[in-house]
Amino acid sequence: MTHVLIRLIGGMGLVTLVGCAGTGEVIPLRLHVVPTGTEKAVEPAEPPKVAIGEFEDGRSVQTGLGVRTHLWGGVSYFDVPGGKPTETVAHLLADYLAAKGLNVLKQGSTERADIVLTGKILELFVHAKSRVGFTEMTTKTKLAIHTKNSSDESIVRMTLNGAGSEHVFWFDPEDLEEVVNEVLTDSFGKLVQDTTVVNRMLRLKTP
Amino acid sequence: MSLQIRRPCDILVLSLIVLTIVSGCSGRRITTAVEDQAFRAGPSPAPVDEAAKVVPPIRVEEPEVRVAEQPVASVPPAIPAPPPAEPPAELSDVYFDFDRYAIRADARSALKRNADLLKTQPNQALVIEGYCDERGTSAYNLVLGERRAQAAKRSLQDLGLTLSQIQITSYGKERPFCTEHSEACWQSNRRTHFRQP
Repeated sequence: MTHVLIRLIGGMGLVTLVGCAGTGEVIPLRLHVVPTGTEKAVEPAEPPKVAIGEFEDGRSVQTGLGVRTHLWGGVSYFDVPGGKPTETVAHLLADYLAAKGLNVLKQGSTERADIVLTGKILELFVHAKSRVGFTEMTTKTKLAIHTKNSSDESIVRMTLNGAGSEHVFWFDPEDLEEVVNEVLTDSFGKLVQDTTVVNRMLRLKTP
Repeated sequence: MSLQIRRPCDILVLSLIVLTIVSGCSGRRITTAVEDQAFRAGPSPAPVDEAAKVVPPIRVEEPEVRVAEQPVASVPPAIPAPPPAEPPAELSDVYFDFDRYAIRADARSALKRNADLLKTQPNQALVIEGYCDERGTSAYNLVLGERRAQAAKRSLQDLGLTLSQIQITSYGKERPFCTEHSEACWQSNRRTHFRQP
């Protein structure tokens, strides 16, 4: 009886560990930035007006965000709701900068912005690979950010690289969302860390 | 109901499961980095030049924005340029001390020559490019290069040159003239270069 029970538990455990086969479904990833710390990038008195312009998709593969490969074969696909990562990234950047104290203008606003940010997604992918006992999640991002200061027409450019990975016993899309969110948040943090606002213009910070 | 494990193979199976679970729960790793940074000053820098206000900005296109990913490869034009119509007289580079953007005494004569030459071509646009040696971060050197270019621009203004067609840009340490790691080489890289587009 004991042996049967042990084998039953072992069998169930094995099934649990390896998961099920992929069905080709699309798993939406709900991304959002999670700015840490309360420090603001600018003085609260007079934050510059920032407009987030268009982001281009410069990825070699522009469909979805990536795949999950299942141990028993088959794949599932990851994508952002709406299927437009450029819009998602632009929104996330806007959210991040707003959280950092900048006055981010709403899309379609007719106000004149002090700083206009545009960008290009050079890389943005997620991957989840199920193995025996765990699922390995990886993500990589590369964003080229182009900033133009309206008052003197100077330009600041920056390429932000990010990568993240995590192993989980039981795969949940929320875990993957957290990894991507953290990578993007950190990347946007680099943008804020390495720049400073002077006279309502964005400048590279002198170390 | 008590669970009794007697046989070694049962223990082995359970150990493997536990080991697999534990090994699968490693921590999250996040790394982010800034690959390259670049700054290009606008046509009329804000903090200085009160006498040079109301200067209409010259063409504000994007040809000079540099990205460190492909800094040099795309430079050579495929078509041999037509013989330059410029006179043989060339604009001299101006060199700087380490970590400084003040115009040195020995650079004033070069600037004077440049100013004299440029005065003869009042309609010709000018780009002043600031460069630095390899020491320091890219961001720091981009700012330093910009200040060197601004200093050269101010000097030309002091020498009576109109600034309406002068654009400044900084390449920091991204496009070194010399790639050796010696003081002589670094000195040759700490410069402003004057270019007529």
